[in-house]
Amino acid sequence: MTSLSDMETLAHARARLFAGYLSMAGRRWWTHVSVALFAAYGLLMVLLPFQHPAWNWDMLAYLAVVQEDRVSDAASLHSLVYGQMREAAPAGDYLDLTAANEYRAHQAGNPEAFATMLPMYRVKLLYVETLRLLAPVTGPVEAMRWINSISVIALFAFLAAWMGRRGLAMAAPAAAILGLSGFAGFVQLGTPDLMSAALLTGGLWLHFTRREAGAAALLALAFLTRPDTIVFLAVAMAVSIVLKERAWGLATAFIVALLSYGPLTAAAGHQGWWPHFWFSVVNYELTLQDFNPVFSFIVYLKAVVLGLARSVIEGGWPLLVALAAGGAVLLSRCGAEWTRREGAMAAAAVLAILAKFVIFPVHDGRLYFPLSFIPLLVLLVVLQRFLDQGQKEIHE
Amino acid sequence: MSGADRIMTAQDRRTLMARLLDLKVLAPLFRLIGSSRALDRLAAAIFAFGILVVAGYAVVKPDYNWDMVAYVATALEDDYPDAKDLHRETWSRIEAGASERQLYHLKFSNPYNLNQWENPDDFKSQLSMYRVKVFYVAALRALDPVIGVVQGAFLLSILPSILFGALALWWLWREKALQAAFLMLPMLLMADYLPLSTVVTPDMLVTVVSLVAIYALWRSHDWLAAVLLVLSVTIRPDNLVLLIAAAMTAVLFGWRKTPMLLALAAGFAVAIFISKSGEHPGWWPHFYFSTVQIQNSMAGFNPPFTLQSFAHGYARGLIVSIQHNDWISLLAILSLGWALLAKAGKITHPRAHALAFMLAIGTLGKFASFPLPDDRFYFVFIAGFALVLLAAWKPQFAWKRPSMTAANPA
Repeated sequence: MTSLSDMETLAHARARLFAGYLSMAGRRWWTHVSVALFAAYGLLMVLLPFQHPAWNWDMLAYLAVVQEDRVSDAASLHSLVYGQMREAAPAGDYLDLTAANEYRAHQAGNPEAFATMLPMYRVKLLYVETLRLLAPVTGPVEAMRWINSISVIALFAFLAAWMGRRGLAMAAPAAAILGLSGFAGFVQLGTPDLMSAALLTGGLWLHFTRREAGAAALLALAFLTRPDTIVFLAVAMAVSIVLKERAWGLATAFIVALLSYGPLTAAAGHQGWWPHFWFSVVNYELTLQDFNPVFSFIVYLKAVVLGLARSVIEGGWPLLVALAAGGAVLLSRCGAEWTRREGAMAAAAVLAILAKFVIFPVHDGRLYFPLSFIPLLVLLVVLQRFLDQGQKEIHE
Repeated sequence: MSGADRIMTAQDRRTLMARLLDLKVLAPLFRLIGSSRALDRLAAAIFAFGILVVAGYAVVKPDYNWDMVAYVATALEDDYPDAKDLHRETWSRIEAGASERQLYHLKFSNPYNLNQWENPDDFKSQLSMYRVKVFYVAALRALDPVIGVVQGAFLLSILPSILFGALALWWLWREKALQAAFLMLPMLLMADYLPLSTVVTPDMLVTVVSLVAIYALWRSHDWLAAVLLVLSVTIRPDNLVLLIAAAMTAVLFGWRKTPMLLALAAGFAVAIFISKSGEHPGWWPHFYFSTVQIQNSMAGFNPPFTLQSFAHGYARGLIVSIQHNDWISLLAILSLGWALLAKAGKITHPRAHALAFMLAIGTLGKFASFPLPDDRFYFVFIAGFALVLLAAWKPQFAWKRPSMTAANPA
């Protein structure tokens, strides 16, 4: 029955051709949809700071730090800042900022106490300087919105560059994971988180593509925007050394961070770890003037347990880390391949989250962003490359 | 990715692993992660532990949410025909258990709550939107003499929550997919499993009944599923969306058509009957209330339909969903997972594709029929979707020991 088998071969070949064509068409079609969704989500996030701004208390502190070079007297700085906020925020939000709890009421009425809070904000040097630069043009409150908006653009551009042209099929899933990490909530705030996240992500992209000088610059800038980035830089350094990966861009950024951390915090008059810990995790003290609680291991342990529970309950980083870990195991089992730097940075991000949490067990998801997001993004990139190779099926 | 970068070679991994393997301390760990059976047990244990912690949390920290006040009142309204009496009795029940802070929140935190606290008549007019959860309210009423309506209300979230977890675990176990629990638990928590277990709403109850129906469909017990789906409509009439999705799926995927179509017809009839007899304000007034402008009184509330309000409702729903909720992200990720698994030929169960389709369009249909942003409205669909995919996929995590003999220096 040669003729039949010939026909079968022909039918098979046709079916294969057709399937191949379909998957190619599907792929191209999906890439367009994926990019469109990614862009639409990005656009929404760019508009969000202006359309749906949130009014977090930290904004008051940043406003004060930004303008303290012009107004040195604590009382007039206080009234200037609270006046600006009253003008900018809706009445309900302003009430919330000044009366929602004892701490806020006290800060609203006591310029001296308020002034003692500022060192914790002054250390976000680059954020403050950028605000100073923008303030004359946009006004100090709006400047925070602009920074977030621009940071979203930068972040999305870095993400697109990172995924690369072939990886854009993963753009929509990347946006979905951003959504899961609580991104929209951070965009609405007046904090340095977004700016630092954009710089860090850009730095990592340059690190992956071995543009060492650029990586060094962006990672160092991310540190200057949020000095606690030093935790990630240190862990990333350690992991790179263990994997014998010579990454001098990363190393330079780490050394810059290490050398400037001391002077930076000293110049800002930062209170030190335990007082800040106590303030953030245990109790919002009304004033930090000569605040020096005694270290207690029990207090520390309790904070870690409660913080972990709350992070899980609020759907935070532990869940994302769990998904990333599960995904990494499954992908590796299928034979997907990671570059050394990808493996190193994904691991470093997870370890840095743990380190940050151990140092400062705060549940707030914005402190773990973008670290909670990076491992999942690496997974998407690895997955896409694996699909492209297509030599192996996902098999058990 | 730049070509300059080195792929992590087998050699790299081997040297790293070899070094780790030499550590005697880690030997039990490697035995664990290398054994599929041990991992099955570990996954099941972690999942069960998660379920119990959630239930325990719900017992210790019950959430006195606003809907609770309305459901308690609905359960009591037959005994207290006068609006003032009903209002007083309802609040006295709530006050017995809630904390100062919760009470403050329930009574004064916004103009709507304040008005409901001050105006018994307005309050009673709200109940038309709660009365339609007939079965749920009947269950509350039945529990009242036994443990009190307030405790009964919490029980009707906590018990279904445990049953839901048990059923999910049972399903994964039956399909030999226990390790999928490693992924299932984080996804459940992201989909708001915990808040749903602590608040007083019919959502967890309707979820567990629906999940049994979905599992029945998975096992091709279509008639059982049909009965359960009709029952679910009496718990939450808007679960009709799931019945529509099921009927569409039955037709498109060539199941027996009668059970699902009959269930849909029965469900529709039940929903219409319920909404008529419960004096439900109707879809558009409820839509307007929930998505455009909250109303202090629903008595005689009948806003004219305008395209602008309609569009506003969807825009708000979409934006709030993206801002504060996870269901859209989860739907996107599950859909991607579905596509990849399908491509890799991992979905072999005869009904997995059909059920995944049913739950995916169900999620979209739910939003289309009523654009509420909260994760809890989509929990049935998202949790069901995840379970169907994971049960079909049966992911395995067991770590394969790298072969130490086949050294191949590049």
